[in-house]
Amino acid sequence: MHSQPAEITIDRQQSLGDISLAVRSLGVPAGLVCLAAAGGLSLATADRGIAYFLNAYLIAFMFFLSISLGCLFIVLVSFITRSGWNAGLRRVAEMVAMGLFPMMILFAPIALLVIMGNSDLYRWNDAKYMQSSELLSKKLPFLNAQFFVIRYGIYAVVLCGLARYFFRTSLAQDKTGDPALTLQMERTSTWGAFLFAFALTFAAVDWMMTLDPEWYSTIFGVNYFAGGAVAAHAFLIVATMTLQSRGLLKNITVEHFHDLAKLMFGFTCFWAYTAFSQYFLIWYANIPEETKFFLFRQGGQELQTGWPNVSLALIIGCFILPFVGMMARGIRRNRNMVFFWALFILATRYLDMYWIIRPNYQPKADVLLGPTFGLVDVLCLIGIGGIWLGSVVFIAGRHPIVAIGDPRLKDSLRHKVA
Amino acid sequence: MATAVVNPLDVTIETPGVRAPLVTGGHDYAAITEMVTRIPLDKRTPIGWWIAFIPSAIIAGMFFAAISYMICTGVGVMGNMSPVFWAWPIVNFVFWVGIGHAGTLISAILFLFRQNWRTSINRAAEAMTIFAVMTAGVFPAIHVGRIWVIYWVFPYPNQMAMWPNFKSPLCWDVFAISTYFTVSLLFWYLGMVPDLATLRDRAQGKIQQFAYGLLSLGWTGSATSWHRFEKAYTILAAISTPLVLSVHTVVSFDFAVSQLPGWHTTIFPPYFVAGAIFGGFAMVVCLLVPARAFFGLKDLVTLRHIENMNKIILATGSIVGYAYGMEFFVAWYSGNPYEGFTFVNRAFGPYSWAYWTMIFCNVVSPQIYWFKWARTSPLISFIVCTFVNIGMWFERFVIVITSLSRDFLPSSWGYYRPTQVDVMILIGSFGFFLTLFLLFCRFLPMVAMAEVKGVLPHPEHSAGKSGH
Repeated sequence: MHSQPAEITIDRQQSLGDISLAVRSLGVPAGLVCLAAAGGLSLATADRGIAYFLNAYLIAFMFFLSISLGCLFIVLVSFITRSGWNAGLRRVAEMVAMGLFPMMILFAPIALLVIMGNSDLYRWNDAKYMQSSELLSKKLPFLNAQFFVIRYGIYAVVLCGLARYFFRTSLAQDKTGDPALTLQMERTSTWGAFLFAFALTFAAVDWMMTLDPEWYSTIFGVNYFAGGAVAAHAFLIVATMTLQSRGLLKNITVEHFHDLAKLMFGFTCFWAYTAFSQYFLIWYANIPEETKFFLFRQGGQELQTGWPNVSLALIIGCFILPFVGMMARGIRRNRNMVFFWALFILATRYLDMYWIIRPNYQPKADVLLGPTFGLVDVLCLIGIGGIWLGSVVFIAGRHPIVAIGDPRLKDSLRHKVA
Repeated sequence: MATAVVNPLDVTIETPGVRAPLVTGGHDYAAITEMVTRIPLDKRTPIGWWIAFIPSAIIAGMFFAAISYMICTGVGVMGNMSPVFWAWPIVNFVFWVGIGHAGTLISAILFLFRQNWRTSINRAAEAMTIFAVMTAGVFPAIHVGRIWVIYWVFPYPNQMAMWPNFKSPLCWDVFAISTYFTVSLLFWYLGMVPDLATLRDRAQGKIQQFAYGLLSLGWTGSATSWHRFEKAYTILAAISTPLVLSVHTVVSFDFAVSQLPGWHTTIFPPYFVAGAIFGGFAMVVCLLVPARAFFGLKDLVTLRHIENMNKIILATGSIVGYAYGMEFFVAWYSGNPYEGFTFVNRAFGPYSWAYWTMIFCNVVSPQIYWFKWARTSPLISFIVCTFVNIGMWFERFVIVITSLSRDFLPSSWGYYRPTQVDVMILIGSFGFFLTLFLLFCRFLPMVAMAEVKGVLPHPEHSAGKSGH
């Protein structure tokens, strides 16, 4: 039934290294400069200090981390499900997943500050505060600097190990085309997914949920994962289209973008589902230590902070607009529209991280602070993004941008959405 | 480039780059039609079918006898007591609704994910879904005690000016489940229309011709009919997908919106959905493993199908295990003493036997599916899936009973025991469910012939060769 193209050729020399010299050589240094400037700027502003910088740093960090984690998830699921349609673009995901290396290094300064006793970011690192209530003092076996850093080490080993394994094995397959490697990666992906789920969940809990040590939610890890899956699909679309405009990845067609857009749409719904579950159940039961999270962001009672507007923007931007906007099949098959929605979704993913993390920046005990956004945030975003992207391009180097040895590549090249 | 299939008959061997055939035996269109239609069109009912049907029907009779006794005497014949006012019926209800998830998941979500292997199993799974939801629906209806006024659960303008409580998830349940049932039924029936027409065309008896003719709605098989059919099918699949998630989400709200320790936790919605898929697939395996052997459908429902379902069971079982773990972690991390007590009480309190049964059945037993020989063995699959069904029933028992039986004040503690009537109703519900399923196997096309034909590799070629 399928009309099969007579011969499909792929350029075996395609690699990122040739075309992105600027990003490759400038990404990391420019990122470092931006971060230094952000830190300096924040310290120079009297009422902000390091606390503001760390908060802005963490928002950007969790945002880019979620893209790399999402890409690792795509790689894992591709092997678990023996997926063929995306074999032609899986290499891009493998490369972006390698961005976990720079991300894990970028968390080291925070871990170092925590071990040095800094409690500007993580309040639980302040012994006096933790002893102030019985509820908090019970959490000390988990919320302490040593265990926090040990856990960070475990996440780093697990996540980087998985990313590296799939990248290296897939590269090895480029040379031999050995199908046994695919089977090997399939086997690893199954138990790898367990390690991945464990590391991602507790990383999200450690690095974001414990910002407010009193608050807790069992779905928190799932929510961060869902956001990461959305972000990763959006980033893959943006990256693939950008590379195509530079003459790479010619074999990725509207059929693949259609499927990527469908997945982006589906995970957007899943993210909304987890976010709603979290909100709704906490709102309904109204238990004080849970409700406080939303009470502040919803601006309940006498709070007049401007956060309700951000919450509203989050609902509209992360769910309602993309949901309505991407529902039509015609839009998901329109290159420009898919590109637009992918960019839009990336922007709202940042908003989500901002909405979770920024309210924890409360320098004054008596006045509650509304949403703030400034040059420090922008510099942190560019800084972390630059280091992340620059490292990805550097690691990707002159390796083929397509998994040319994958035995299922031909499925991908002939992929048609029925 | 790719190596050839080692053994074309063993479809469980995966060769990357070569897609294993979804149907074995090298059958052509006619052979598949013959294989499926001969079951409902056979004039003689096989003895084996009667051997299964008669006990099922007797047990179903017991189901209705016990319910009648309960209604005539009053709900006092059930074991519900203070403080466990909500017991057996809700446990059974959630269990059966959970079973009713696999069918529509297979038909809708796997369809959207282009998992073509679903075509061999979707019909039977959808039928199972419908019967499971019907069985589930019995419990909320009977537990109110005064079943003759059950229509009060529906919001309709009435002279008493009495409305259900719209703020209660129990009220949303009525909508969620009736919507799900309606759409699942439509989806099942719509998908069956072309196959019913095939039965109509091949039927010999007058009654058969009339009945299948009526049900097939004048299907002609024209290009226009197929075009509309496929459009409607896709739309129904898209509508069903959120419904699959919504039903068990709302069921989880029944518990999670409360403040009761062990019930109130934010992971409940996806955890319940994963658990429902887990239990639902286990039931599909339990039904199809004997059915494929008895009705000679091994070439359509191949070992690869069993293996795929077992993989989904392992995956969703792991999600359920993840949720158990997160619940435990947060029960401790929250620092909430009531939450912490509930979980310790579950594992080491008076109901620890139920808890460890659940853990063994749901978490430990599926681990054998890490091994391919276990995934591809129908016997082991049947045993493990039976365990999973037991475990999923106990999961609901643990959630409902342990949280209720130890109230906030020790003076309000109690130990719930089911009565004989309770047990008869539970066993009877299986009889009711199996009776319906056996009737389906006997009189309706068990496999979606038209869809299976659509995924045959090269039907026009001769048998035995996988055409790659």
